[in-house]
Amino acid sequence: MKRALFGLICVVLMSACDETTMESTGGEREYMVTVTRPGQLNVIDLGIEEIVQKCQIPDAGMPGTAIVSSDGSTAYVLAGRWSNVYGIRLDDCEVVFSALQSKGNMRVISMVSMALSPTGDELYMHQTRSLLKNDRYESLPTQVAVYKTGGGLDAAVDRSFASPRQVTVMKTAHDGTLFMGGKDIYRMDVQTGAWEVALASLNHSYRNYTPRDVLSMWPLGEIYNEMFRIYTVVKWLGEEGDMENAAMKMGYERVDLKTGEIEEREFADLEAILFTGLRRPGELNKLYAVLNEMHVFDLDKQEVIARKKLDHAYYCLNFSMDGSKVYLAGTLSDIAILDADSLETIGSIEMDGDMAAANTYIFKRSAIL
Amino acid sequence: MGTRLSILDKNLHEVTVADRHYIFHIPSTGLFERDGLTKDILSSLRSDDAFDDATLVEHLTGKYHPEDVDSALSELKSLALVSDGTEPGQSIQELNLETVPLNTVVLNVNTGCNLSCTYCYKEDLDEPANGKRMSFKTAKDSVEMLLKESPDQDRYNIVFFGGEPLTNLTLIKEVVEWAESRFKRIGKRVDFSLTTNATLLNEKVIDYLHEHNIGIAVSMDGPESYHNRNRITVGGKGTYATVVRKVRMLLAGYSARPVGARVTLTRGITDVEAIWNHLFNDLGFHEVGFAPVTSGDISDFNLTDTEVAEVFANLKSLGRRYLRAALEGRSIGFSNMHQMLTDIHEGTKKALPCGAGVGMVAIDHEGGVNLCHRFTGSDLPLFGDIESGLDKPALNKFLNQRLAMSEKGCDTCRIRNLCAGGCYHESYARYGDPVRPTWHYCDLMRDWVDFCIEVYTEILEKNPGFFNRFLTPRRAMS
Amino acid sequence: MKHLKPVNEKAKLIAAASTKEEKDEVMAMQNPIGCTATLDPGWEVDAFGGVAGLCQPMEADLYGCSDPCWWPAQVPDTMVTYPDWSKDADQVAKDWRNLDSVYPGEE
Repeated sequence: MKRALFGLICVVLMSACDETTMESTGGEREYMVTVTRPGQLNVIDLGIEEIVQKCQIPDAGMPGTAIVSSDGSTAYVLAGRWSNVYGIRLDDCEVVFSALQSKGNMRVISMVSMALSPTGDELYMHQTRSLLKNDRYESLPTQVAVYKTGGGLDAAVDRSFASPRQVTVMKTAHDGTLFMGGKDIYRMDVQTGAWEVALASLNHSYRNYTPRDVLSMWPLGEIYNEMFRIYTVVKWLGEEGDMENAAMKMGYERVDLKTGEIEEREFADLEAILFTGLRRPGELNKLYAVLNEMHVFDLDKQEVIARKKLDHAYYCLNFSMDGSKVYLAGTLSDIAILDADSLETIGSIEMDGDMAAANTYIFKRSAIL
Repeated sequence: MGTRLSILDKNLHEVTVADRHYIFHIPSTGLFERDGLTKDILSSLRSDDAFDDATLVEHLTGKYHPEDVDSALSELKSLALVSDGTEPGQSIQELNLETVPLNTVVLNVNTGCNLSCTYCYKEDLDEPANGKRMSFKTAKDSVEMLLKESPDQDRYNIVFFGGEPLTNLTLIKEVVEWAESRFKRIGKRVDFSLTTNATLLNEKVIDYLHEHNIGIAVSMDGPESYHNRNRITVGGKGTYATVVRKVRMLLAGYSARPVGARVTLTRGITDVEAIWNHLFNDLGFHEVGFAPVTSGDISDFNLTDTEVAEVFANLKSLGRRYLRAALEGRSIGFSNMHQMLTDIHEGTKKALPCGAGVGMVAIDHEGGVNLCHRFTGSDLPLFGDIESGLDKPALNKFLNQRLAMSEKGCDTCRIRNLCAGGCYHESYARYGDPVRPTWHYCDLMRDWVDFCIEVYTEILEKNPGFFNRFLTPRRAMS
Repeated sequence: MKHLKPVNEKAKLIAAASTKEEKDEVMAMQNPIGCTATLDPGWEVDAFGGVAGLCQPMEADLYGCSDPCWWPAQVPDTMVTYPDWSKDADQVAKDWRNLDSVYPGEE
């Protein structure tokens, strides 16, 4: 009730409202979804920094990876211990879709790898499959399975294609191409199943570098429609294998999903392990990354320009869509809100349970009433 | 000197056929052809001289390259045929089945039979009027139990047994109709089969069996004089004339599945070839299989020890005929040989002799779970019932007892992975103890397996296409 | 195999398995069997050989690492065998005392 009133007041007294809480396109608010243990989908109104909706996921929340359809109506949550996806309508918490991937003696998991088509009519799942036979387990080839999001509960697979193994984060580009992050980044045509390497990562061919090490468990980059992951690598300054004359470096790999453009860029010496990071909206030369501390990098200067000590480790960094605030989430049960300029902690949202490996997904839509 | 090399005889069996030399690798039932170097290594290690790795290479260098001696010795070690002191402990793991991978259930549809064959092992046999019939509910629940205990098979089998199963054709029809739809709904395949004395067949019954693709085995003992000795009516008359008439009717048009004859050899009947000839050539059965009688405590019918030896000699004789035909691209339908050759070809390694209690169980008319169809109505305790399901602890205990026995008495035997101690019911009949391996004809069995290996290598050498043409399809249909 | 020529199907399988070039690719199998089959122990020390780079406090990392079988010490496998191990500790920093040992065989 309170928030609806607030919204109403803001409509009437628009000039008095903070711009970050009201999009001038009229009626849209900025929200974040994230999943907490044991199995709750939380919708947070970032304007008022309050949880406005708590939906029960009909399964264990693990891992809790959540993405939202482009019209902001439905969140798709990977749950049931990496096996099942539930489409939950944000307005009323109704479960409108589910894909129960493990059936009979076939166990299927997806390691945070799910993506929606640009219009939201299809859901793509990367499936790691094992057949549990009477006397042995059989590892089956991995595949991308396509579900129609209109398929209701226990939706059937519409089609499937063979795919490389060990794929985690996946996202679709504007034209429907599916980008898959694995040992390398692949692109797949979701109509024919044809795939190829879009960006070589583990198998890159740069000389004087070891294969890249990537930890990619969070589908970051939704705020400006890109796929983004950080890597670490050893650069041989002398002889290959000579650790005395080597530098440990950080870089990022990026796919611009609006254009399909690929970018890879080395941006600093490795000083501390940082799990996630993003470039700041509006100031793309600055990259913020987090684990035990938050570091801010100047990408042109290739150096750390600020470090902030944190109360505890956070896995998952995100920005408000205008880049003015940093949200640190994952691990425990609080979301820290920082001012992106001063790095001061300006707020905190307490959750009902730990987020652990769950991500945050930020998007705009009409107000949830 | 380093550790002395020795041959692990319990894992190795050498077979020579014509001028070809084979090594039969017992732990895996793998068959290899060995070269001259391997032969020399083995004979060196069999001599009185002691060798270690280095001195053996030294000993054979000159005739062979040292690298070759090394690699040949490695191969022998990798197969645990030669040891350098560390004997790999190859004991059979204890079974602990939590789920039993059943695919077959045998239903005793009626303890009654219209015949009174002298040697019948069915301890619960009744005249047809007094036969205890299985109810449809019990039959249905048996199949449901099968599906519940083992839901993940692609194909299942329902076998109708008795007494004489055709005395309860009504139940068979009910079960077939129900099962066809039940399995279709869950997208699985179900096959039916039965063993019959054939006397109750007629055109309509045959048409029905044909329509539903039911596999048929006919119990028949050979030409008239043999058959009528034991396969008699309640009144004591021989049934040959009737059986032949019905069998000709059946074989005239039954193309659904191959029809086999099941021969029981009893005292005084050892002429395997004559029996096969009559059933295969005269009557036209697709296959003929032989088994010695196992008639419980009525030992008058058991073959004497001399007769058992005679039977094996005659099986070999028929086996030589089988080989001649196989080399000409023909199969003479000798089931026992088919089975053994398939096992050798695929390298079957058996820890247990059959699927009883693991892939198959038999249900009696009261719904009790029996180890197999031979045991229904016997004194052997049940292994559960269709209400409460399989008694897995009891099954595990029984199977482990056999494993322990065969491990103790059989662990150096070269055919242990093909024989696995033999038929439980044979042991039960002979010793009163199903768990005890059939040690009474071990030498004959070993000789039979050696013979089959010879036949196998001959066929493989001269007409390898025989296996895909005649043996592999047989497996697919069983 | 050079000196022992495989004759039957089983021997061919054995010969193929012993050839180095034909070894099967090792594939991650923890999903049917759970974390006990995983051989990747996660990080016991950070990239620099110390512990400062590990998550602080270590509870912050517990679920994120143990759920996908990455925790470097022995915790119950929550992927398959003990899915409810953490049910009384939704906020581990506060409720870690409710995480108990598990006893195989006790249902």
